[in-house]
Amino acid sequence: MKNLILIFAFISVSTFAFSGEIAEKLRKSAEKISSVSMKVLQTKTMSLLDEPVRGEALIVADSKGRVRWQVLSPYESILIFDGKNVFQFEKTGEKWKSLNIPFSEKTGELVGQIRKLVLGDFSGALFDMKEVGGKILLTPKSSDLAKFILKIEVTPKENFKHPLLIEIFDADGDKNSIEIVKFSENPKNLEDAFDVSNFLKYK
Amino acid sequence: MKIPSLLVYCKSLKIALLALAFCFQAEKSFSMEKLFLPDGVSCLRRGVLSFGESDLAITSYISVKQNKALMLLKSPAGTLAKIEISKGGEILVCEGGTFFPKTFAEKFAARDFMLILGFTKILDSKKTKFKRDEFGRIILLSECEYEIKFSGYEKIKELNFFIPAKIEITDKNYKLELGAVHILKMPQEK
Repeated sequence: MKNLILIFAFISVSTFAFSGEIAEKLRKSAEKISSVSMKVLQTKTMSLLDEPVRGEALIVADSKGRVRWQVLSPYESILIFDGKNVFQFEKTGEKWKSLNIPFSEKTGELVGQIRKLVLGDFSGALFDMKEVGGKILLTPKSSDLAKFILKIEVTPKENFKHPLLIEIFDADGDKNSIEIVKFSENPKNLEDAFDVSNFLKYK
Repeated sequence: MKIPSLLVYCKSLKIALLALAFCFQAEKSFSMEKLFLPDGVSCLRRGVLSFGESDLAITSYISVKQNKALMLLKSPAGTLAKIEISKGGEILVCEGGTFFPKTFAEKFAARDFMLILGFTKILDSKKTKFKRDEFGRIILLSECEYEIKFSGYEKIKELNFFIPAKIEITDKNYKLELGAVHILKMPQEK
């Protein structure tokens, strides 16, 4: 769920029409974008471990609000939101397993609300936003969301073409960083990325 | 007794003693010496927690340091449990998360973690059954409606240590499948 919040949140900072200078530049860059495909490096820092946990992921998203978040390492996992429903698949051994994720209705509501943000509708927005030290700072509006996330910091790429680094500070003190290492605008043949039919047989 | 016969006898005795020693070791093997990772190691296991009609992807992060095993159980909805167990099998820390009460962490997560590490003292010894593979490694542990299967033992070369690639825990309330271990840090990597 946090992943969904994250992906929509940072896409939305590229499409929001709010007053900040950084956000405005990102918004202008995003005007021509109807879909994106990204390769990212994920780093999780936890108080439990002396060293951060690093991995790779692919993220695909489009203006219809669809998202595919595929973790490649250190384990394999796929989360797909098709605009209505959230699907999750986990690789256990050599096989994929389709999960019946709990709270799917809540997740759908949340995603629907964030999708509004993506489309520039601020009613029921989840985060307060401001710009601090060259970064966009997002803090949860609701106390429920604040139970998960303390804040999100978005560092833009030098040319403001897209976000470069997204840091999510969990309420429990852990931190997730997502560094975008490859960013492709409007890639072709994206439909397959959101097709869950091949996975749903793996019950 | 002729010398060759004596040699055969001694050899047989040695084999018998080794076998006895192995059996003894095998019986003792389901203890922390075999399943408690060496100091300085940290790893993660990804898994699926199933309850009712629902499945939740979880990640367990384990770190062994200063003779303590620490486990952080994470889900997409945040931390489920944080548990710390001493090498003597004592629970030092047991905390729940935002949506996983401490009582659940104590009743389920801490119990599972204790047993995965090999501390069977929390089970009723009269009702507990073990099965081992041909190498004496535990493959099944059960007590009434509770069961843990260990399978696909793999050797971690650097540690000369065998660890099960898959752990399946079945309780009357839930099922937990944990997949392969991903080592994050070896003892020498400081």
